[in-house]
Amino acid sequence: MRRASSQPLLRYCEESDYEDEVVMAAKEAEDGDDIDEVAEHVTCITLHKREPIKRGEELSWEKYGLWRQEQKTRSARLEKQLKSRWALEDLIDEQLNHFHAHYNRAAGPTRLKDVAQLLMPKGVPAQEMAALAWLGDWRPSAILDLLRSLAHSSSSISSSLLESMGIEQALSQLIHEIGIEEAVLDEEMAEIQANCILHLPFGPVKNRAGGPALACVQSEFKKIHWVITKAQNLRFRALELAVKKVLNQTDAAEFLVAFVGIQDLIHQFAAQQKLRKGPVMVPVKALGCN
Amino acid sequence: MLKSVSLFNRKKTSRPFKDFYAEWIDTLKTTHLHLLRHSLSSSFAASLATHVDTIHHHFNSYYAALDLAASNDVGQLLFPSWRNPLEIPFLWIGDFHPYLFTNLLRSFLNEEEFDEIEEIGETRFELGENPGFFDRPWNVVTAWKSPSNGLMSKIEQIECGLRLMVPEIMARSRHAHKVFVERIGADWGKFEGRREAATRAAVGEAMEAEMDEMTGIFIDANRLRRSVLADIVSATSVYQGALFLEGLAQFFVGFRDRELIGEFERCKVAIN
Repeated sequence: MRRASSQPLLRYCEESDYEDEVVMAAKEAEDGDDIDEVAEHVTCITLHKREPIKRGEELSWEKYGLWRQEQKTRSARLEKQLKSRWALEDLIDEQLNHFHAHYNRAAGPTRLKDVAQLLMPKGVPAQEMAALAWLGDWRPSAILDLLRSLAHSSSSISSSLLESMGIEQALSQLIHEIGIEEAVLDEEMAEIQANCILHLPFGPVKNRAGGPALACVQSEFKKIHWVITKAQNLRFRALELAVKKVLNQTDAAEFLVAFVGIQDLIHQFAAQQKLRKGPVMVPVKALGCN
Repeated sequence: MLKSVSLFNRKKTSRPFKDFYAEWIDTLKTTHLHLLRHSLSSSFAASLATHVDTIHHHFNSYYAALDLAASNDVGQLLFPSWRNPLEIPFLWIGDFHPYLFTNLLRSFLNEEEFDEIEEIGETRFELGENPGFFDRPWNVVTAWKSPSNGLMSKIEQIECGLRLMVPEIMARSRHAHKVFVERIGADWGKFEGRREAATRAAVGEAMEAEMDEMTGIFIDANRLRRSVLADIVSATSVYQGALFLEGLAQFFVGFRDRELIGEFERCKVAIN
């Protein structure tokens, strides 16, 4: 998928004098060593900081050589900066691939007993699951809800988003559409869960197709596995759309950092709660009903 | 019943839900289901009514225990580690889907329709692994024959109520997730730079609020399950209700079938 929305540096270059841009970008890089800031600064400062041309000054060979040398240095810095942009893109892709592998576990060979593990992963504390899980992991629309919330509150991620109402609108539309797909999968899952009593071997209605008990179980688990697979695809699609279509490169990177950080915080909190609370208890008086 | 009697002698005020469930399901299987089946095979309507009440009460006690435990840690009840891998995929908000109850009810009616089409001289009933079914008295065997219009309209009412309530519960759950992540997102943005302590505290608060909301949703889901059960038991005759509860109990217990679970665990064939 190609990045569709704002890419400040490249877009600006197309609209203005490229050479001036190049020189000034390099100058910015020289002035402040923090190369991360260059891409942002270059778009807004270049026009105002152009060096005045001194008329009548002759370029001696010596000066010309110096000038060329300086050009080379600046060009090399610029190239480095461009490379770091691609390096950032690669890192974003790597991170996305990592999520893809995680959200795509159901695609690998899945045994019967793995299905429960996909819906209720053992390493994830129950409170973390209860807080946000939908069919085994983050609810896809919640990933986008998080992005919208971050865009409104975070100073680092919001810069371009808040400027563009179109993106805000696109995000809302995306959340709405993903929400509909979630509801469809919810219904499919509910139907399987509601009808399993008619198909499982220990239900009161004997399976008329006959066959061994495990075959009936397998048939139901295949249906559930199919829903989980679709849920995982939807989850990844939500993340990929946010990162590749809605956000520019810098915001995408900021969002991924925040997303992973937030997941980690929730996980840590839930794990602490699990340790603190121990197994869930029930008052003994409840047993009086026996 | 020895196990449950000994419970009352304990001084403890609470116990792990996991243990409660293990005993609850054991009592359901070895005591209540057994007694219900026994009285379904005899012709004492009075004892059957008592056993229908007892087993219905037993189910209610389970849902009441879930509600009571919810305030302790709703997360563990929504994702119960004591349910085995065979049953986990069939859980909806911590237990079986309430549609399952009405589908079970419908299965008795459909069975009748099916039998009427297929009937060749004798009534054909197939009730799973149902020991001694054919020894049952005639009023049990024909309990679901020609259900009254009154019963049919009550069943439709129950289903209609469910169709209203289930989507609402799902929507609340979706909304709770949304509110939670939005709150976390806002806090993350607000505390940028000093994320560690401040954001951690904020996550804790957001999580607590979320668990309160999920507790409400869980209790409402249980209320729905309980009320559907109560509606079904009150709408049906004692014979119909007994067969329904027998089917439900058998379904709960069936997930604990050692032989099937063994096969299930050992199965190495990929399902995809």
